[in-house]
Amino acid sequence: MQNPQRLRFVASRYNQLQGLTLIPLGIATILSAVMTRDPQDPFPTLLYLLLWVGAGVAGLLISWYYRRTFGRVRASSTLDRDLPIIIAFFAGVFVWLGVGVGFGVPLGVILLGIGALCAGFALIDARRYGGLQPLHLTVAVVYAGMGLLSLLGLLPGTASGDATTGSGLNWTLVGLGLAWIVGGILDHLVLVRTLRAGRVSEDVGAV
Amino acid sequence: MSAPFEELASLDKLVHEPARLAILTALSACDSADFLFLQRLTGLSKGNLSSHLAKLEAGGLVQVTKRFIGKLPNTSMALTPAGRAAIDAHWRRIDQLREATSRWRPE
Repeated sequence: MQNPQRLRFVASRYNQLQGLTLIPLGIATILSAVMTRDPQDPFPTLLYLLLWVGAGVAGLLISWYYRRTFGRVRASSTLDRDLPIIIAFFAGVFVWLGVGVGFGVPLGVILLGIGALCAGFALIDARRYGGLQPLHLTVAVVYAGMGLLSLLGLLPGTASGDATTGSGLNWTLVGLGLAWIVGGILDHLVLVRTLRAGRVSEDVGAV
Repeated sequence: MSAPFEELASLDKLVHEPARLAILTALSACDSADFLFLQRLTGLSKGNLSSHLAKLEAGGLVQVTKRFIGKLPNTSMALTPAGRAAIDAHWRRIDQLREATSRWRPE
């Protein structure tokens, strides 16, 4: 029998571990950030719309793949337990961004702070659910890594340290997109290591 | 008090059988799961899984619901209140016995 903690973790977080659904979203986020680099030539609204609709459709198709390959789970509602932590996390991010922008804190430090907040959230979530969801840790690592690169002057366009510049915002979006792609793949690997994938016909689970 | 090993040997076999223990443990972490998910999780064949689910249903630990999603049949399983109590109590007992066996020394 598999590790019971792993069984519980995968069963309780099954819907969140369908990480491949984040890849189209991550790609769309990165492309959106890259395409706004030249303010003189704004990307046509229709193409933006197509990009995000395409990402949405791809996400739905991937969700269908998970249902057909691995089945369906109705997760227990944990909103009453999770909501305070989620609110605290976003409040922390907004406060930190406000402080950072208000006091002109270098972008690298802001990104490091966001990475630290994400790492804290990841650890709290891991304790509550008996397992670390790779996506959460990936977001933390990506933002902390970008923060370090910015402080070392290795992140193009952020040398001035102004988080409100187009470059600053774009790098934040690029980081988010990258984290979704990498973290999504890692979440998917956690899922498939626990569930045995294979070709199965329609449910014939007669009991 | 009997040695913890005797208690280990007398655990409820309906719950303690490895495949059924995996099924009950997974179901304890969610509201319900369908047949395909449990098959993927346990690696059991359809017939084998059906057999275990039938025993759990007969024992009042699992509720089986059959429906159609579109045109495709779907069978979902959920723990009954008795099933949830049984698996929670079982794992607590296992933890207690593990501690007891680690402290046990032959006389």
